Amino acid sequence: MKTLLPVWIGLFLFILSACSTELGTGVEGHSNEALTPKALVEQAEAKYAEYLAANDGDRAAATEKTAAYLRELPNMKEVTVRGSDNLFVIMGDGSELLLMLGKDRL
Amino acid sequence: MFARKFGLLVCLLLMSAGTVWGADAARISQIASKVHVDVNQLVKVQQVQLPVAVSQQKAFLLTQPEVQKVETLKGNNLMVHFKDGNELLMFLGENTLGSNTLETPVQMQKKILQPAQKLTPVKVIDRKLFRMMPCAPNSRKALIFDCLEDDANVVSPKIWQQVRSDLQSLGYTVTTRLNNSANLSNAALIDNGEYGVVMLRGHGGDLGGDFGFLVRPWYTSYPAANSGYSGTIRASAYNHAAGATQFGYVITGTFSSSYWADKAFPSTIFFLESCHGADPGALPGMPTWTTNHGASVWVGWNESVSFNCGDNGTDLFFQKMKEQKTVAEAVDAVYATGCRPPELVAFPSNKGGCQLSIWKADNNESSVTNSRDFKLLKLVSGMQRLYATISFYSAPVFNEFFFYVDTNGNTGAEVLVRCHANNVEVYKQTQPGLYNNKVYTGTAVKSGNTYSFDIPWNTTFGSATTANVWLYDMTGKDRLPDSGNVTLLK
Repeated sequence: MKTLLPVWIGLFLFILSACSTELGTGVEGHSNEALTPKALVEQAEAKYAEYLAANDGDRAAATEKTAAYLRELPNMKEVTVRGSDNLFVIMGDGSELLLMLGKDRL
Repeated sequence: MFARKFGLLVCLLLMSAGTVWGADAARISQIASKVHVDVNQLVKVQQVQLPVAVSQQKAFLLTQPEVQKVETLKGNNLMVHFKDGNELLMFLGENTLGSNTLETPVQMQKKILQPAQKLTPVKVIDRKLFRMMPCAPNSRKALIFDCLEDDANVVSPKIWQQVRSDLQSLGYTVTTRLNNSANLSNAALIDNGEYGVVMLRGHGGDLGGDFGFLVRPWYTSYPAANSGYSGTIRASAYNHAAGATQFGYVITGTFSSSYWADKAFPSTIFFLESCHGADPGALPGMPTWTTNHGASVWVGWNESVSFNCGDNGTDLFFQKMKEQKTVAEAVDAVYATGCRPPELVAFPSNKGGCQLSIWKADNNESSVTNSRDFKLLKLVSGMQRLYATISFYSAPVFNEFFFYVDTNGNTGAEVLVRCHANNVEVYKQTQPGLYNNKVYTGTAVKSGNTYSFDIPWNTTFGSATTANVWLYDMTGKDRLPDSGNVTLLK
């Protein structure tokens, strides 16, 4: 039995980790290090510009792809598309942010 | 031994799960907010029946790890029981206090068409009660609230200057709030300014059932959640002046309903030069609240719009308004430029007939008795009539003053309207300077310091499409304007 103890502890930590990751962020397989809002915004803008170029200026498509990218980031609770160029983000700590993507838009 | 260890493991697992599933206040607020917004969008934008929308949200709530049970209550309301013992009653139904659910025209018509118990013959018709006025702002004050004056600007002079010039030419007094003055505290005072025209320029977003408008200042880092005002959300957008994406607060429908509740808007025309200003997904929030609170019409773009289309569209829209076109005509002119999609649209759609009145002020002359001293003339045409409102420096007391109209651009008037205390008489010129052909008699209304009347356009002016107006009081020797005239188009 004593030899099984480390296995049980390992199993427990694995389940706990998986459980927390699934319920807290919806992302599996990423590190849990949360992005700062500033880093998040920078990444979102960079990805949006990249997707916009790749999709011949289709803002709706670029917005959807940016949303999909953000959903895979660690510690991201919710990412909702709000029309073209707009994403509403709820971060792991509950902070909210409306991302108005792109440079040539009002 | 094994059983004890297994029990400990289960206990630890439950504790950890409890920590993860625990619904703190912030999470409950988020869930509740999402449900309210989504119900709003489903019902008002997607026209989904309320019970269906509520049922969908109930299903959504049950998928949330923090939620234990959801009960459907009478009136399409939901009671949510969270696993940590918290409970939340969500008023989603139509019979809730504070609901801003609008009746459709058909619903309103049904109410109006309900048979009366007993019909009483009308003995006297009070003309004042039935005076129809064209849709036009009742204030000559205008506000330009440009959050991006120092950001990208496509037209030259800058758009706020062009709009100001157009409005001033119609007699509006224009207040400007530019850049860091276009902030939360000044945004909260928009209703107090009693503006007839409000032009907002800045970044906008569709919040899913509401509109968000980004105000100044910019923040280089993520600002505090509490802006000091209700109904704000943190947002990011590209700041051209700084060359970087920065943060700020957007104001929402909650902001407008919290801070624009002091004074009803005086049939204000709101113009949004922003993305999503009149996006169908944004209309149920701030735009609906504002138009329900006195504004006559809310004009904006129905999707994301570029600086180029935004600035040029605004330029053309106000140029057309300056030419005394209606909102619908101005919107059509922008549409014709081909700068679409998106499209500039007016909300509600049946308010396209709104237009700007023409205003002309006159100084308080010490030599003229206040009760005869012209202060302000307001002119507007519509429904085949000319509408005039004349303000005096005190309650008007006079036997008669003259309202002259030149219709052909030559010196002298072709039409004289003799304005008496209770009526007006319209005369056409028979010889130069002689007005003997009376063509119309109508009522006049005095209220406070104002005197108003309306006259039929065709009877008075024939086929003329321009009326150059001035007022003259022979007794008081006052003229408005002091020289020249005020031009009103049919």
